[in-house]
Amino acid sequence: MNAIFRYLKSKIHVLLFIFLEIFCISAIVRYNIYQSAFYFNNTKAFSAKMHEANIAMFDYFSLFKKNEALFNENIQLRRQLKDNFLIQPKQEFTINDTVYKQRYEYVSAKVITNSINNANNFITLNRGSSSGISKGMGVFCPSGVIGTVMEVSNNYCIVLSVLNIKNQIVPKIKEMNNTKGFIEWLGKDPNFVTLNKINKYEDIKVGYHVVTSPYSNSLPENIPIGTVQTIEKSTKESFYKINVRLAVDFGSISDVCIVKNLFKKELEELQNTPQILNFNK
Amino acid sequence: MIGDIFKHLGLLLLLVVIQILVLDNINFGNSLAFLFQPQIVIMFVLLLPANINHIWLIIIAFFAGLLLDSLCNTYGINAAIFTLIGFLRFYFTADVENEISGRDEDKKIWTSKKSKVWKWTYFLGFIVLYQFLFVLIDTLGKNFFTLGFWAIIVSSIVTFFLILILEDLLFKPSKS
Repeated sequence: MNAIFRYLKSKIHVLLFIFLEIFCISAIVRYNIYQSAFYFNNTKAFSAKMHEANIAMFDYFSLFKKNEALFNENIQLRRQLKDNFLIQPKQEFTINDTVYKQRYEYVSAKVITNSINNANNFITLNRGSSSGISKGMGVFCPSGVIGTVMEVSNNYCIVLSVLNIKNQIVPKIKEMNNTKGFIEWLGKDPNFVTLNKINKYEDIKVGYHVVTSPYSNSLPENIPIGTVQTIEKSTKESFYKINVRLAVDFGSISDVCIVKNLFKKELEELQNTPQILNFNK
Repeated sequence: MIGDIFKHLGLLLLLVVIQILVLDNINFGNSLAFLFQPQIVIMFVLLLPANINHIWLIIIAFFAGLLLDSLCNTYGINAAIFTLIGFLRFYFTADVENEISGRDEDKKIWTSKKSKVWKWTYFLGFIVLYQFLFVLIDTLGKNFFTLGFWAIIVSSIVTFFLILILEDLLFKPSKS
């Protein structure tokens, strides 16, 4: 203790100097208008910047949670989309009115395993029959179509990816607003699929958007599949060979949506009634 | 001792009066007026006795700056610079008193005890430091290279010569 006091006594002129300088600087900042404006502007900007950096840092750490929350919100919103509802005109009313009935419901899921290099690619999701998932349900992510559910266990399901040579999707070309042909993957490039059976006399152009068709039982209408990249005409065949660039980057999917079609069972039952099945026989 | 105190007090008053009544009122009225801002009160701090206690040097410099501030409406700027100069000055002048004065014994002011070059560097160095800090704090670096820099150079040179002349007038070696 004594040593500290002795040391301080030997440095008292420095302490006095520092004390007086602080006094002077506080006086400068306090009583000179220009200097005080400069000081307060800069300290405010500095503290604001510090605050910003702080927030940015914590934002980064909470990104995962926020992403999840946003995704859930998206699903909530999607449930309210017009496409989910079946329009039932009620002509019994004197006023011409329509009533919306919910057709699609969405369940969020996370990708557990994913592959893009094989000829038959499958994706495993963390939802199963306990969440109400069943075979044949469509799967998509915000940027586009992923595939259809193939196998379901209690807590997991396996999705037949678009990048699977056995997968076939019925597409609609948005600009032409008609449903023609089908989408097929040839098993080579995970960024491209082929659009087959489009007649040579159709007026299709590069850049047209390919989306899901309204005739699908598993997916809602207008979910993007991709855009037309190249169009080849062959003299032998009467169809174009069209390359479609996929909207989804299959290498980096993590959050997806599973679609429940609430009328699917009813539709299938109706379509599979013995009268219809035996009609052609 | 008491005579010394009064001598320095008188010097301070004289310098403040010259500064406030004469130098601050000189205005060339043209676009180069900003170049002429001599500040001679710094001479008081530079001419305090060489063997003065460091603490007293700092305190006296501080109050001299405060006096100048209260008369020039530059609250705290001069006091801050004077305190710094008082703090630094000690390290340059502490050993002057030990200098063998030789034939300069009759000289009344200690600044001449060392060589003339030392004296000029001592004056000019602290004057430039003072002018630099004054311009820097006063304008906070605004237009420094277009206006402030040249103001520092011109004002420092003018102040330097004013202080040399004043010192020569006030502390003339008596001819015995």
